[in-house]
Amino acid sequence: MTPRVTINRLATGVPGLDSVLGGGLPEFSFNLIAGPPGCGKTTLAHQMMFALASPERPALYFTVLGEPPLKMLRYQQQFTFFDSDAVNTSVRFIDLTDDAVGGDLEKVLTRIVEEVRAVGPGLVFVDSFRSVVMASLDEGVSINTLQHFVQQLGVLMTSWQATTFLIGEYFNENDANPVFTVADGLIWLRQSVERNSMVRKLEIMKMRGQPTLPGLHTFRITEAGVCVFARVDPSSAPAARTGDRLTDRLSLGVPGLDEMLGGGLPSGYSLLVAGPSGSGKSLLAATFLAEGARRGETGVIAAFEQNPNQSRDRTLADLIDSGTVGLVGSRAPDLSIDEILLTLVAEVRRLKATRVVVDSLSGFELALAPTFRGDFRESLSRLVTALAAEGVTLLMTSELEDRYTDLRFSPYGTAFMTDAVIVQRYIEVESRLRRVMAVVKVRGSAHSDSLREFTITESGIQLGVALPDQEGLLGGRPTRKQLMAEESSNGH
Amino acid sequence: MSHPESRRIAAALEQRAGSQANADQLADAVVMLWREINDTLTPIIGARGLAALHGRSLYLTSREYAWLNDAHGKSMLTEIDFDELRRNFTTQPMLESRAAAGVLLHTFHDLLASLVGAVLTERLLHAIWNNPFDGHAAQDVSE
Repeated sequence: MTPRVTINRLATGVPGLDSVLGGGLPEFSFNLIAGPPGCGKTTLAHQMMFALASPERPALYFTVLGEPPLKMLRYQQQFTFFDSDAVNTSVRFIDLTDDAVGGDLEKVLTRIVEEVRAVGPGLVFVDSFRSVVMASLDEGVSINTLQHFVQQLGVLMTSWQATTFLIGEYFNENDANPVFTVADGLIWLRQSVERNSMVRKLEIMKMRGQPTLPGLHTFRITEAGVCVFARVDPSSAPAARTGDRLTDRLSLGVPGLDEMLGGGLPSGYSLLVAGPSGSGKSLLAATFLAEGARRGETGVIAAFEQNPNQSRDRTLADLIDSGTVGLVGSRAPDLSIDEILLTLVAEVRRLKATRVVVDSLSGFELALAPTFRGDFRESLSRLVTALAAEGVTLLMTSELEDRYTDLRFSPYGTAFMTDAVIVQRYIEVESRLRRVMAVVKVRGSAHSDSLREFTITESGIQLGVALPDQEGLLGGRPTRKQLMAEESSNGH
Repeated sequence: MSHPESRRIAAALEQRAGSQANADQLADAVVMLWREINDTLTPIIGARGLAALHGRSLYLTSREYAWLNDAHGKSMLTEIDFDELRRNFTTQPMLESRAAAGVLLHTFHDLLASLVGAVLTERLLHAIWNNPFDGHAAQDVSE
């Protein structure tokens, strides 16, 4: 009995792409890279070629009427993956413009076969396929001939044991195109523009023989080439650590606050700190990281303030400088949740961090490309789940306008996603703005229910006493309790 | 021409023409070199792409050597016109022809390098400047 064939999977060399593909690219597959002009098809193809090609597995890159090869070489060279030394050894460029000009598909096919025979490549790229199609349709070649051509090419390349890529310009995936049927793999690149933001997305519409990560995955093109941010699927994330969650607790670093939480924040929990502007959320977040550092733990902060250098706490800045706390900033425009999440997770793993801060959710939402803002709640839920799977303890801050008529904890319904909530508010007492905070929730744990006043001094957050003689604090304008007022006036 | 690239080019020309070449032999050597360039680059950048670069090099070189007939500038050629190239180089005294051939090749080299970079240019044309199959001993062009 013949054992089942094992399909080797090739590592594409494109960060994130292998996991989207479901473990790499099947060897000897016949693939189509499609998308509108400028979406990164040629770049993706070059990046994979330079990563995969070797003297033992040489690559042939056929250019057909699309981008002039001279220009392609000029621009692709700007990417760090372009290796001039590989040209004419493991990578060969072959121009078929003259053969394609007449629209004679047979001639193009013959040329490809000739070259493939001569070189015996493990990888074949045909760029761009649309130009072959257009040239031939102009000449009155019917779709049938075209389908025949593609099928022939597919069969030939597979029998030559060459993993093949057709690079094509297609504007519409609903084009009734014979290539789609023949291809084993269909990698679709898109770019969506909303207002001033541009977001690139990639989708594996088809990949025979293996399960791929469904949906649109954002990617970015930098000088290192394409980097795919595989969509993080919360359902596939491993279950959060549940072991000693409640007994293993982390100190927040504010004297008295740990007691309010019932003995510290349980390890692996997510904590939301909600409060109005200037109430001390960022300071609490910084204290949380500093306390971790004091105990020999590392942390990561995702900071989305407008002016990170101006507003940042000195202690925190020192921790970032010393490398104890990793900083994930929002320099790049048009972020996607997956990009932030993958960057965060990578930083957590690099530093073996146990404490993570997202400061703040409002800034985070603004940093996202507009197209993602609609799904912000869902995105946040993925963020919380993925970080929980890493086993880190998460603190997020959330701007919360003080509304004294209703009691709310976050604008996004985040309170429900997180394990613990601390709320900070301003109250007016004797014509002064004073701050109070309370622990609203610690899932599965007893916690204090008192509203405690706190002040911010040079040495940080100082928790004061509860204000038992005041009532109606959450209304913003507390009044002295009648009984207390009488007692105190009797006392004097 | 003190540039190391110029010396390599001059050496490659001399290798093909011989040091005692007459005008005809030099013209043959020029054509031979350009045919090698043609064979090396046409598969990669296409015959038209190469003809365009060659034409532009001729144009630039003709500013210094006005007798160089810039035939390629006059019409869009689909490939290098080797006959015209040969005719050009038989009309002038040896020294003049040799100098112009060197400048033309050097101009072409720089043009290609400005487009695809010096490293890739070297990668592509290396074998031509250092032809191992030629009967003459390879010239040492290092300093």
